[in-house]
Amino acid sequence: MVMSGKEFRLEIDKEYEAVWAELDAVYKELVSTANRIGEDFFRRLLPQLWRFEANQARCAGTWALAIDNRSDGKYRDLSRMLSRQNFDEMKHTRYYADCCIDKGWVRSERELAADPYSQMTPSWSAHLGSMSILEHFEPPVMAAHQYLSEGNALRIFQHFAKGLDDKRVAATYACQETDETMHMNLGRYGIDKYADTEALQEQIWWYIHAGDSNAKAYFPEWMGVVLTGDPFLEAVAKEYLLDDSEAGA
Amino acid sequence: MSSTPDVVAEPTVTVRVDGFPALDLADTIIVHAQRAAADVISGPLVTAVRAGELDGAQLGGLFARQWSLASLAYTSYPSWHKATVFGHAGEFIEADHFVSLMEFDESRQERAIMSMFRSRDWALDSEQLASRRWQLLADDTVRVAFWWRTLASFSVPARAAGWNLSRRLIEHSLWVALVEAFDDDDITSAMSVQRLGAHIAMGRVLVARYANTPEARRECVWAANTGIELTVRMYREWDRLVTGFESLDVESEHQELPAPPKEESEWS
Repeated sequence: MVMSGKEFRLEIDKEYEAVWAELDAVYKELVSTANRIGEDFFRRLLPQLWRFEANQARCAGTWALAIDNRSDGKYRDLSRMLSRQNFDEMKHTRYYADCCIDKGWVRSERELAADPYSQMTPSWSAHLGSMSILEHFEPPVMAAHQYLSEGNALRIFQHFAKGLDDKRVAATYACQETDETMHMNLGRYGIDKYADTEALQEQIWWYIHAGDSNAKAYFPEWMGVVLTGDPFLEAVAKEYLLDDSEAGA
Repeated sequence: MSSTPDVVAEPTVTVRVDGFPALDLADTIIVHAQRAAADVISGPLVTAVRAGELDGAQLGGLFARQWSLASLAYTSYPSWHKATVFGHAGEFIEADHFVSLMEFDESRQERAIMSMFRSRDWALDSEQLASRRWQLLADDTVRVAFWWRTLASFSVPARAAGWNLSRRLIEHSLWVALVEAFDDDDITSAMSVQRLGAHIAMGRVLVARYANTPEARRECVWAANTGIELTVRMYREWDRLVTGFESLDVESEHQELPAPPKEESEWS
C-alpha cells in the first residue's frame, strides 16, 4: 500500500535522525573553530554566502518556472511560496553584503562580485547545478530537496546565531532563521501534500541518496577555503568530511 | 588569487545624478507614459466605475483580467532573473534585487485578488478563475502578457523602459484612479500590495544608471514606445470588454519619443 505524503516524510525523518545528530556535533565544533580563528574565518565565508544566496534565488525562480500554469491550479501554492523564497534569498544577500561593508572588508556590494572569496569553489558550483536540475523533476522532488537542504541551513544558522563571539556576524544569521524555517516548511508542506505516489517517492529517495551527492562534496572543499584561506586544500577539509557510513545515509 | 580590484564605490541608498548618465532619458519616458496614462484614465472604464455602473459580472471581468496578468508573473519575472548576467564588476546588482521584489509583490497581488473572488459575488469563483485563466485574456491583453515574457531577451535597462516605466506606470495611474473611485477597503488593500510606485522607481534607477551607450538608449526608446503602445491598446480593450462599450474613437495623443543623438560627442 502506498504511503501518504506525510507518512513518507516521516520515513525521511527517521533516516535523517542520525544525520542531524552528526551534523549538530559538526556545527558545534565549527562554531568553536570560527571563534578561535576569528575575523578571517568570516572574511572568507561571508562573500561565498553572498554569492550563494543570489544563485539560490535563481534556483527558486527556476523551480517556479518549471511549475506549469495548470487549469486545475495544482502546485500553485508552491509557486507562491517560491516567489516568497526568491524574495528572501535576495534579501539575505543584502544581509551578508551589509555585514561585509560594516566590517570594512568591502566598500559596496558591487565589490563583492570581484572579491576573491566570493568566487565559488568547484564542488559548490556543481551543487548549484544539481539544484538547478530539479526543474526537470516533478515539484515534490524539489520540495524534498528544500526540506533537507533548508533544514540543514537552519541548523547551521541556529548554531552560529547562538554560539559566535562576533555578535555582528551572529546577528546576520539570527535574522535569517524565520525565513529558513519557512523555506524548510515549504519542503515539508510539498512532501506531505504531493509526494503520495510510489513513483514520486522512489524518485525522491534517488535524489536524496545519489542525485545530490554534490551536497556532501562541497562542504569539505568550502571548509578548506574558509579555514586556511587557501582554496581546495583537502588535507584540512578532510577533518570535516561527512563519512557516509557514520551518517547512516 | 589576485587581490581585490579597486572598484569605485556606488551609493547604496541616495540617488544622485552623478552615476546616472541616462536620468534624462528615464524621465522623458516617464513623461510620455504619464500622458498615455491620462488618456487611459479618461476612458469609459474609469468613468463607469466612478458612476458606480459596473455590475458583479463586469467587476469580475475586470479583476479576473488583472488576476490573469498577475498570475503570469511566475514565468516572466523568473525569466528576467535568469537572463540577468552576473557581472564580475557587480553590474546589475540592483536588477537582481528589484526583480525578486517585483515577483514577490506580484504573487501577493495574485493571492489578494483570488481572496476577493472567494468573498464577493463576481460571477466567477476562484476555481473558475484558475481554469479560465487563458480565456480571460483577449488579443491585446495577450500581447501584453507575452511582451512581459519577451522582455527577458532584452537588456536590463530596456526591460525597465519597456515595463517599469511604461506598462507599470500606466497601470499604476489607472489603478490609483480606480481605487479612489471604488472607495472599498478590500479593493484598496488588494491593489496596494503590488507597490507599483516602487516598481516605477526601480525602473527609473535601472534606465538612468545603465542606458549609458547609444545602443542602450535606442533600445530603451524602442522598448518604451512599444510598452506604452501595447498597454494603451490593452486598456482600450478592457474599456470595451469590461464595460460593454463598443470600439471607441479616442485617439491616443502620446507621441514618439525623440530619437537619441547620433553623434557620440552629443552624449555627456
